Amino acid sequence: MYSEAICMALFGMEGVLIHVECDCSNGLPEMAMVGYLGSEVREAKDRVRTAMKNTGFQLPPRRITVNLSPADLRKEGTSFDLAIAVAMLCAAEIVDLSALLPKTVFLGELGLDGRLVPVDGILPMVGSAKEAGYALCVVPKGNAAEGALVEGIRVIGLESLEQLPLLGQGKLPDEPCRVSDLMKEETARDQVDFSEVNGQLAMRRAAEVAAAGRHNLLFIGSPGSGKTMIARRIPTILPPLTLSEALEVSRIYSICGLLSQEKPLILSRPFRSPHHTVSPYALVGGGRVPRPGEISLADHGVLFLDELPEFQKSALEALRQPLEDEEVSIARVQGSFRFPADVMLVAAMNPCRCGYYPDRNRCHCSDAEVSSYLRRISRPLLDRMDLCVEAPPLGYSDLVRHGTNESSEAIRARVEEAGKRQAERFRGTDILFNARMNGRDVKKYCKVTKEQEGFLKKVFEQKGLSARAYHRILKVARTIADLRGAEEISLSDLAEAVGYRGPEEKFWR
Amino acid sequence: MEERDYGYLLAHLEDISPLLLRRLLALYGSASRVFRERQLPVGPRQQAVFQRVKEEADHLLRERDAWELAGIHWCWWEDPVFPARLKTLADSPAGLFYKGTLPREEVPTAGIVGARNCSLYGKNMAERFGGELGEKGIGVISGMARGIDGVAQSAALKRGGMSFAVLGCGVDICYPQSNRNLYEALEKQGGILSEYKPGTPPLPYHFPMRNRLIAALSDVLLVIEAREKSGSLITVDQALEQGREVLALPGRVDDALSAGCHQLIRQGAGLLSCCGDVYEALGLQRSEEEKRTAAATLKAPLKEIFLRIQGEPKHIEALLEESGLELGELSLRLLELEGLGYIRQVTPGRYLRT
Repeated sequence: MYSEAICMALFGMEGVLIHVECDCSNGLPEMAMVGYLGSEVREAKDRVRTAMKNTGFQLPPRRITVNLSPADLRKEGTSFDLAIAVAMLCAAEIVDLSALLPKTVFLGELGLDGRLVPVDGILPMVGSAKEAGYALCVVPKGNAAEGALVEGIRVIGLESLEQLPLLGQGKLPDEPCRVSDLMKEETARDQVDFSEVNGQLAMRRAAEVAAAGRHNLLFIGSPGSGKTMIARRIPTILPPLTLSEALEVSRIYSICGLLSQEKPLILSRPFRSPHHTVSPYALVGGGRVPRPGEISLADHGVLFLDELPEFQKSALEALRQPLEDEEVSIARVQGSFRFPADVMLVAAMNPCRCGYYPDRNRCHCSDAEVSSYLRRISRPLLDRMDLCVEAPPLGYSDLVRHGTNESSEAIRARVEEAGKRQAERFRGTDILFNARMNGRDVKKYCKVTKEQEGFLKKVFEQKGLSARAYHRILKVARTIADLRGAEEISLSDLAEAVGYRGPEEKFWR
Repeated sequence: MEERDYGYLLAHLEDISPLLLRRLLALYGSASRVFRERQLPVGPRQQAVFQRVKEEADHLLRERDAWELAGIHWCWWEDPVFPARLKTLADSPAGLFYKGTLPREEVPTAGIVGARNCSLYGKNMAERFGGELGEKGIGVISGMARGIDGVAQSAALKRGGMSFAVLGCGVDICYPQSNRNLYEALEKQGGILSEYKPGTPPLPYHFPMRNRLIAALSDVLLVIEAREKSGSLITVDQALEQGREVLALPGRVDDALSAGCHQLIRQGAGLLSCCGDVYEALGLQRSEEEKRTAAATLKAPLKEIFLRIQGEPKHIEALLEESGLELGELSLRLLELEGLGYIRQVTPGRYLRT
């Protein structure tokens, strides 16, 4: 007897349909599995057989052949177990699921006792099943809430193999779709708030401007000056995730197995802070079948690189393309994989190895050492940092200052307002924020008056700026004007933007 | 062979010090006579070197001619170009290698020395004094080292002045490499001097020796920044020995980089606060236009900001709090002040008076 069940393999952000074919024929009792299987899939043989035995399904003593088709695609992962079991039980005519089989996708790993164990990547796979026109997805109970985030497809959570007959009789309830409830739920209050930051007006302001226009931001300053503290609080001043953003972020987290089973929708802006020993592959994604890296996990949020010059050069260089394209694309023999990477990059660094330059009473680095420390960051990467601020060292009075600092909520209100202005301006284009403007857009949207033109010209000659810096200054000035709620860029907006220029412009000679 | 050639050969007997050579010349009357002697009244080791130089004389002279073609000149005591300031030096070198020109007697000179790892304040001051003295036509003498030396010399050249560097290595070696631009400019707008043969590496014990030449060539010596145990203080000792005036730039009392300068002032060195002090030490007219008082001519909003920025790099954060201005407005004024040349942005967030 022949039977076929459908499951999915994860390739990048998409699920690929895999047909599990099973045949029971006369011959010596044996079970063979074919179809270009990775070792964890080959091991499914023993898991499935033992699980069946322990749930009371008695396999007939016949020759069983299982094929995972398409047979030229290498299968990896453990989500095939359930489909293999289903195909075998149907082929052996132990369970009758014939009504379900053609329009159902089975996903899940089996324990030896027949329990279904949650697997990674349910959300994107259920999404792909829906795209492919399937009506039902059977997933492990632990993944059911996650699968149910996809609208337009039924999802049933299965606890154990024992329930398969019930499934066949249609006695198992669908998992309710709770997306709108989850969205409405009060977002868990952020752990941190800007009101905890004393003083640091210049850095706070820069964080606000950067958040408003989604500009990349670089903090330079001595150890303990609050760079990391402020960076951690940037997600709290970004507007909350929209539904589509939340789903996209959740899909990535699903692939990496980082979703919680109860609340599978990520609602707060991601903040990822990889350690500086991170490899290029861990940072941008990689592997034989690529998985998302830190930059994708920070999608629609903040990627924070602390101690920027200590990162491997290759890791930093690998960031260049994703920062430009807002997505990571990784080419492999099987095809090209794309992961979203729409991040706001925030980086922090010391001005020199010891961290105290230009305070010569504490810093004994020679000028050559200082500049060689700065040179560890390549110019192309620095060019992508729109804003750069230097953190002043904190005095005692800053630490113990009483009185209230502005809260994240108040700043977020302004950032959201500026976001609306930008959305209005860029309606009908694929730009969302000022930081994404290219040279032509800058010309179109950042108009300057004759007087301002003269001012810029003077500043340029005075400071020896580059053409790249010109665009950056205009983009940042545009955001500052948006924060003020003004349509025209003013002279002081431009001056402030000039002040945010980076260490590349002939500083630290 | 000319007398000069004999001088060249004798000047480069490695084991015969300039002092001994002088005595020999006094004893025999001229370089050629010394050279023709079979046996000099010196120790056996020096005698052996003498013997070797005699044998290699042709080769050594050819080598010198080749350098000459490459723009590396040599002069000795008897030559008219030999700096007269060195003649009073007890252990004056018998000869000097140089690129470019040598400081002339009638042009007043000022040595500017200081720490290699200097503060922004020191750098700023070195630039100011080097620049203004250079512009006034005073030759700036220094050691082309990193930090104060190089900054002062670069500033002098940038403003059209003359500057001379005394090296602790051969004049064909640019040490430190980072001052390559300065090295090349010095050749055109001044000179590079050394008592060491071309090709000599910069060995540590050469530097105190070259400091004595910096001191001797300078009519007045300015110490910009020096720690308590600084090589610059060797130069100062040499300068005092040769009766040169020493001016020290004061810093903040708690600044380790100024401790050496304060020590000097305590011991009686002159106080360096403006270029007028230098002119006075040189016996020149004190210049009238002290343009630092220019603050008076600034208009109200700019002046208020300017007065808040002193010699120490000031962070924009502090200015923001003190002035109570918006960041944009403050940035605008800072840019304006910078455009007028009153202040300078030294790091992304810090400003300094020029």
